[in-house]
This record gives sequence, structure tokens and C-alpha cells, in this order.
Amino acid sequence: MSAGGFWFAAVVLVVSALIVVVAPRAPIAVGGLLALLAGLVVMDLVADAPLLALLQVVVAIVPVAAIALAGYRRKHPLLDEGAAWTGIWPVAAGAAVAFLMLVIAATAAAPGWYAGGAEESFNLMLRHRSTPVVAAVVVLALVAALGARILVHVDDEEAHHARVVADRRARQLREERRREDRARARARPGGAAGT
Amino acid sequence: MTIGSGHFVVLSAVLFALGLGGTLARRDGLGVIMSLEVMFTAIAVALVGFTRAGSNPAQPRAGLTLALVVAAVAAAQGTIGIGALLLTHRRFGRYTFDDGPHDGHGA
Repeated sequence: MSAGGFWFAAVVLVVSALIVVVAPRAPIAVGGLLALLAGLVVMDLVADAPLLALLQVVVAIVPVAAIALAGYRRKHPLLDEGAAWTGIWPVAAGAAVAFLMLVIAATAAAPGWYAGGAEESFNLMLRHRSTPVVAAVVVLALVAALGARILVHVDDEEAHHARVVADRRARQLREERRREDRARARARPGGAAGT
Repeated sequence: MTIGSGHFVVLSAVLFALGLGGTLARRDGLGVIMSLEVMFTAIAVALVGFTRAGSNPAQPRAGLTLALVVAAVAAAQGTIGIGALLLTHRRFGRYTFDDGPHDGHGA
């Protein structure tokens, strides 16, 4: 194992974890998360597990896409309702890609197919345990995609409720501003005191 | 210098501590979920390290299987967590865990 590679990956992992934990803004934290993933990939490569690195990247597409989507929605909260492409479909597409890659990885685990030419490789392990591994990962990925799909589904009643809440909040904000303006006018010298 | 399992354990512990600190300290939902992802990364690093250090060339490296399952669990946790956050935001207009969900509920 390359000691230089290990230390490089370790520094990347620790610094990016620090960024994720302390970053005040979501986009910076998402960037830290991507750097963390890159560090993990380097660590896998250093540990002679190239296919695990590939699969981890593929599987990680799902939460990273979901986090990016959530950050985008927080920036543009009005897009919560109705904008089709900001819905769950990017996440579902990520899950589908992950599923496809896992199937390819499982079927590619045939004798003589070794990633990076390593005699003892991840494929050797997959060949022995491909069924339970792929089954577990596929079930988890499907649970994630379906769970998120159910959770973020917006029905008509919920959309109506959200509009009512937003309207009420806007009304409260306007009234509050009006009260502050009146209080400021009263506080001014020669203002309409006592009226 | 030879890299052994101890190096991986220390690195994993540091990452896990950072993630745990973030999970406890952050108040926004996104931050908490991303800190949980850091903790899952720590587990994956430990698994890769142990597999590397204790591998037998004659045996399949089963630790990598666990690492892959951990990655899938992390993906599931992150995705469902984000879904729950979006739902919370839509219902209550917030992503933070500062207050209870009283504002805007039951209108």
C-alpha cells in the first residue's frame, strides 16, 4: 500500500469532513461532501479496491443529488409546487443508474475478469457473494428511492395547505411592517403621537 | 512507513468524531444529514482498512461487501432524510430543528 496515497486521502477526508460539519451555507457543505466522497474513492484505490470505489460513487449519486435538490429548493422555495423537473425524478434517475451499475458489476464478476489486473480483487469477492450483495444493495436503493418518492409527493390538498400557510405568513409580515412603520412615525419628533 | 490497520482506525475515529460533533451541533436539517454521511464514511474507511490489513489472498474480501452495504445504507438514509426534510419544509416552512413544528400547522 502506498503510504503517500493513504496520507493524501486522509488529509482530504478530514478537511472535507470539517468543511461539511462547520460550513455555514449548504452549497459549501455539499461541496465538502463531494470532496469527502473523492477522498473515500482515493482511499479505496489506495487499498486496492477499485471496483468498490466505482460502486460507492454510483451509490452516492442518490443522496448527493437529493441534497443538491433540497439546497436548490431552499434557495427557490416557490419551486416547491408544480415545477416538474425539480421533483423526485432526478433522485429516481440516480437510483436507476445505481441499479444498472450494480447489475453490470454483478454480471461482470465472471472468472478471469479482474479490475486493475489484481489477482485478489473485489470481483473475486463478488463472484462468491454476488447474490446477497446485489440483493441487499438493490433493496436498499429501491427503499431509498420509493421512500423519498412517497415523502416528497405533493397532493392537491397539501399544495392548497401550503398556499394557505404562505399567504397567512405574508399577511402577518405585512401587518408587522405596518405596525413598525406606525411606531416609527409616532417616535419621530412632531409625529402623530397619541393618535 | 507501513500503513497498518491502526492508521485506518485512527482516521475512522477522527471522521466519526467529526460527524458526531456535527450531528449534535448543527441545527439545520441538511447539516445534520450531511454529518451523518460523514459518520457513515468513517465506517466505510474502517471496513476498508480492516479488510486490507487482515485479508487472506486465498479468501474473498468480505469486508468490502460490508463497505458496499454501508454505502447503500448511507444513500438510503440520506435520500429518505432529505425527503423528510422537504416534507417538513413544505408543511412547516423550516429546515431547522430549533423549534417545534407549531408554526403554520393545523391552519
